[in-house]
Amino acid sequence: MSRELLLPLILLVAAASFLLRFVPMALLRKPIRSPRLVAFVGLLPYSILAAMVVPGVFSSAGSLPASAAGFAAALALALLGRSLPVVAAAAAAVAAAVCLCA
Amino acid sequence: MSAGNLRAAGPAATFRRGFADALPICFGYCAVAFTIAAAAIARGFPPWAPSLMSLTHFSGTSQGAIVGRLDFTAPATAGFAEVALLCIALNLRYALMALALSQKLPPGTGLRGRLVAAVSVTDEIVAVAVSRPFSVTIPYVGGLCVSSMLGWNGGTLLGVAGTALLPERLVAPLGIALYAMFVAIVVPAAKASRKTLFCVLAAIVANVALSLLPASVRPPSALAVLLSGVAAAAATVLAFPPSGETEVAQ
Repeated sequence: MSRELLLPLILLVAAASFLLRFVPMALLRKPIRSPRLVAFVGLLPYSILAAMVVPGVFSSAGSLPASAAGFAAALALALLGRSLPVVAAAAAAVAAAVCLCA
Repeated sequence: MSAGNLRAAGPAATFRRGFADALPICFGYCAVAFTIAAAAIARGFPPWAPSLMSLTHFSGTSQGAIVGRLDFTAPATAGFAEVALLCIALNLRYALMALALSQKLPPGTGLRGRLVAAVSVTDEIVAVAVSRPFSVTIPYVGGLCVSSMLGWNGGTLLGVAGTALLPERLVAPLGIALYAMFVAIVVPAAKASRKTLFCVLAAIVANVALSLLPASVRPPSALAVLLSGVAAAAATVLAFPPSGETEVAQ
């Protein structure tokens, strides 16, 4: 898509995310009963984020070595339980270092 | 502050209490919003776009998806419908979060109060609100929301401004910060639950398989992500049938 479509995209997603938050809040005041539906919706963010990361991450930092190094740093720190800002900053720093050295 | 004190306190004090309780969220959001804004500028977004998204979306995953799927410096980029659908799928969980938060509001909360609560729905704010031992009031939720939104929009402005000052060869590697953020969300959840680990690995395998298809039959990348994610979550629910107990996902 072209840059001209960016404003309509942002407004459309804004409207959709507002309705997704507001409609259940306003209309449905009882919990969801279907355990399968609850499990499915609960897993969706993780599965979509995971698919976004692999393989996209390998072309995210300019070059493959920089991207792979940054991804490895992010995985290691996340496994060690480091917080989100730390993981993000470390991955960017490692990727930048590899870019500058190459 | 005990539940009794909070109930006795006036709306202004309750608002301040919510504001203070969300300060850790405020600082975390500031850092994440900075990286999303910086990545957006690195990918050729106009400077107004990150701020408009932060003001109107208030969603790290969907803003991250827009920036992650669109690269205006590349010769071709993802399509409008793919990206819009992906964002909506990512934000579906807010409907569940809104339900969870709705359960914590005092009975009889009116539509105006529910509007404030709806605008406040993010993973972190709902987690804080739901973890309180007391029923949360609208001024309290408003305090959580204002504090978090200041961090989110402040971080976005800093990201746009900071990137303008950085040399280009330092901006390109910042693009990975966005993916690292997703790693930081997914890895702890996958580590804590075998079901989530299965789901995450299935999504990765599916998406890599789709990306290896010949170009003539390969779906656009944002659509491939959506298909892989939905299929993996569905397969996981089939492979690990939930027990009878209903719980609202975090």
